[in-house]
Amino acid sequence: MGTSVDEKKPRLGLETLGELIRLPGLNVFLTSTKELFSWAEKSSLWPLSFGLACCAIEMMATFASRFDLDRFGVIARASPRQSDLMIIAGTVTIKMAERIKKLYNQMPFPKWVIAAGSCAISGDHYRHIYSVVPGVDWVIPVDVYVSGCPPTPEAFMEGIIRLQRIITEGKTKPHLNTAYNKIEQETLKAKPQKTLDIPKTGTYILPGEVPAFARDLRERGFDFLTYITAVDYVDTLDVAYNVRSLENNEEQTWKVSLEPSNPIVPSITSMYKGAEWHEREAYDLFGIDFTGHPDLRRILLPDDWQGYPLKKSYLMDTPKPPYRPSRKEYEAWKKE
Amino acid sequence: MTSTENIAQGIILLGAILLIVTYLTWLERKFAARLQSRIGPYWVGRPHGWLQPIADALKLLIKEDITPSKSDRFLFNLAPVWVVVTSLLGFAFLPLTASWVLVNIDLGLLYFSAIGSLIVIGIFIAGWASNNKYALISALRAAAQVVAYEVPLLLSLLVPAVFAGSLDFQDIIRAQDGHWFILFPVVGQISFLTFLLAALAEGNRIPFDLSEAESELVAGFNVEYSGMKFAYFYLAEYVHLLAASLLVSILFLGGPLGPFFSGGVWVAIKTLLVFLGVLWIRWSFLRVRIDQLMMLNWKVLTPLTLVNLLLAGLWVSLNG
Amino acid sequence: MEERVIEREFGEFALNMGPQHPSTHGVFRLELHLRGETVVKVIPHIGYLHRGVEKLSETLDYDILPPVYERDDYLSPTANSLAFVLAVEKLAGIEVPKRASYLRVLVAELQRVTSHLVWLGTFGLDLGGALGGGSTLFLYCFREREKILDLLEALTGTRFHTNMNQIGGVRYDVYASFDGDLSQTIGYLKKRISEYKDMLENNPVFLKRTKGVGVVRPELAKEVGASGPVLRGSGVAYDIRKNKPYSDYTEFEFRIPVGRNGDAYDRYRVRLEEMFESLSIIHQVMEGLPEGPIHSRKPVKIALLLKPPKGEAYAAVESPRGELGVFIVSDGSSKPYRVKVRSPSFSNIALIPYILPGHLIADAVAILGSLDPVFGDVDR
Repeated sequence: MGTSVDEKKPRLGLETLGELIRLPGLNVFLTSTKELFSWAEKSSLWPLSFGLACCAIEMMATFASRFDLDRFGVIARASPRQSDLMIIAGTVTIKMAERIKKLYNQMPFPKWVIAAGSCAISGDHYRHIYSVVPGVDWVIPVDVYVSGCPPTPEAFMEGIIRLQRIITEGKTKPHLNTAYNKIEQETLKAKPQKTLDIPKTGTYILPGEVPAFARDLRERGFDFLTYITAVDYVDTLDVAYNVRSLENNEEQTWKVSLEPSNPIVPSITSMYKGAEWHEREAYDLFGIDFTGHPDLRRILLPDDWQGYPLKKSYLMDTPKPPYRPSRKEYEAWKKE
Repeated sequence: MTSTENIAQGIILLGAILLIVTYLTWLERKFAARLQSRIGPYWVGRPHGWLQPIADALKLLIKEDITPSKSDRFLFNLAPVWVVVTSLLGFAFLPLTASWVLVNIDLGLLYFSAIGSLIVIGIFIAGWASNNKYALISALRAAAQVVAYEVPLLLSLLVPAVFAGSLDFQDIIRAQDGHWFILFPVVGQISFLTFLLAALAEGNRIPFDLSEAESELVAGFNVEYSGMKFAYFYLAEYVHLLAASLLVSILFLGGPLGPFFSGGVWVAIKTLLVFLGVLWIRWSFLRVRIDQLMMLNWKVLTPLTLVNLLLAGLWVSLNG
Repeated sequence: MEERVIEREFGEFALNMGPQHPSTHGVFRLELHLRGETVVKVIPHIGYLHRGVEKLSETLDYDILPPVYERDDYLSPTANSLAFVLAVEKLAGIEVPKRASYLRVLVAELQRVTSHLVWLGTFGLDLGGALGGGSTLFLYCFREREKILDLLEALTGTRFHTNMNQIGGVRYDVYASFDGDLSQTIGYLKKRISEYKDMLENNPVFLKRTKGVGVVRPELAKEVGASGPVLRGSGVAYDIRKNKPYSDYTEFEFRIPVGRNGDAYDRYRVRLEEMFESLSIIHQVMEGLPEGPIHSRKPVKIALLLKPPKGEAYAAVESPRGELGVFIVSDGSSKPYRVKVRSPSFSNIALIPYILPGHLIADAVAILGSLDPVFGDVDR
């Protein structure tokens, strides 16, 4: 799987030119021109200003006064059309992978990619998470890997220098993996879950009572919505609400037990505007249907996602081709 | 002067301007770096990265040239050429020493200002032809901005012309002998400052670089341009800025006038100082908003320059 | 993937901002519907950095989790792990030595300053662009931030993912000359931050760009659940450090700066004042640092050792962005049964659909910047 690709880069085709016109001394000239060009390429690497996560902060620090990447001639450009280098600094998710590919395709040749940080290299501790691409080389070919979590500015600079060396030597062999598009059906089968006897404490009310209960609290001055979340207890699916009264420094938590096969609860968006996003999150991750919600869509995951990840029956390492390989594929790649 | 000589001189001037502008980008990067307690370009050509602009230019030259499939191909390719040509044309009329100018005409100032505002057409073409929403917004902003700022720009340009009683650059320089126009009490300074502000707005420099505002519009009108075409825009920006600095030094700072050195040296020194001043403004100000920009123009600069021009006229007619 | 056609009304111009955009502060997408340059409707899209940390927690042991949580809100990593260890300690009834509490406060407040410095720098970028005065402010802020990072590196070995908190205490104790280094840094920072304060508050462009922009009414802020400087900028003096004190915050004296109008300028003022308050807290910590052990549990060799009793607990801390809470359900095993992170950025940027309409594109950027979202925190 770990195949190195040699992309057909539309270079100037100097070698072809040299073969066509056979003149004494021409090849020397062409070689030195090539050297000159690669010197120009390496001396003026303009990365796309593009950060994903923690590593981006260190990347910014590398651009900043103390380390100053400008001394190598590296200045960030906001448009992919004007950049030569893409520094993937952070975790690549499936939702983002498509965009990264698009940005990569928008960049003009010759172009390079640096995968900075363990998330961009291999996914790090997120590698078996349903929404994460385990390494950006499953999406676009990568030239240089910079290690660290996050890489220190020194490591970033070393990565740039390594890339410059690669450009000078002309040995660009970017690395790209391909995930085979077969989902092993058995891995998606739900595991039988055993019922747990976790004590369910707190104020439990019936689903139908939620709006009236919330309105009552709202009128009593509990106007700050802290969170709405859910817990999958296998036999029931519980939704927990927390509201506060900031003036009196009081808080109130209440819970609702729902049928896991058909979780329906009235929405409280009419009382608390903030409930809109919290309920969307609960819908996204648990599949809870909030009746009366104005815009119940997925919020964190792509719109076409299958399944509800935080349910206990959902496997954490569910593959999602073409960017997210199955665990077997990943392990096989790791051994290589 | 024969036409052959003229063409040869023109080519030399063109080469010189391009070389100077290339190094102005280096100067700007070093200057900004100093301001920000950095080092700036250093490793590409020791010492102090003096080969950096060459490397940048060469890299942009050999970069893949992308024309987006949904763009208007002809206009998309026309825009960078247009921008560079119009920005370079202005130099033909500007006197570079006390006596030397490529094309000497009586209406130098008028020609210069006419050509100077043509550049925005290129920017508009670029924004339109790219078929990109950011570029379009940027083009609209640029058009609105330049049309608006043309008014105070011309009104403040006219003050030196009124003082000198001529639109010929040579006359304007001669009139400043012993008394630079910037030293004229109140009128001169107001005219200088308003011209500088308007020139910043015309040249798309911070705090008025709304058409290139990368925190809002990514890269503005040149968002779809890559390689050499992008380099053209970059070049045109600096050529325009250089021309504006040169104009300031001629109109307000006495141009080639000065003791000890010859005229050309004085022009160079004054232009460089104005250029550095503009850089200083650029690297220490935040950007204004489009409505605030327009407000500043129509409610402050335009009336101010108008009154200023009237005062200048009054002064000349009383003393003249 | 989700290249659906954006529905819009006649005369509207839909602009897609992000996820790769210089001023979206990470991976965030705004679907702006414009009339001219005025925003009439906005649909935010999040989830581009959803790393499923809540699902991941269900498969890892308690002692392994604090470093994982530090990657969530990557501008103030300690706040994340602090909320998590506080929740576990509450659940398992673990006592924390006083010295450990003080050291936790020390690192948390140092990181509050770094986080606000990054915010100020990137806010400058939003207002002034990467090729202008904004970048100068940005670089200055990052230069000052390096001073604190050096201190943290000397203290813990890493620059900002300090890995300081562990269940039952902290991992690292201060070294001998730390006091001197710290007071030197504090003095330097105070001077510098006052300089920036003078510089910005007398800058007409900055005032014009922030005053009256993105006004958040206190009722709206509360209803949406916004917290931290966004809530306090609207004039509600609510701070977890005062209202639900944790980690011995009761023993330090500090003010809660509040704004009046709830605009971008007030949020800027609140954050700036908070930096001074944090520096003062840090000073107090070093003054009164008690002697004693720095953790109550033996150094952990086998992660399986900690098995909190069945039950649930919620603990919140005041991160630089607001209330960061962790809600844990335990089934009695060595792994949490369910962890919910109540992240401040998530609630704060939920304000966007309510406050952006009516502003210009340039203001949209400034408002987003003034809310200070961190997308590792929003998407988790």
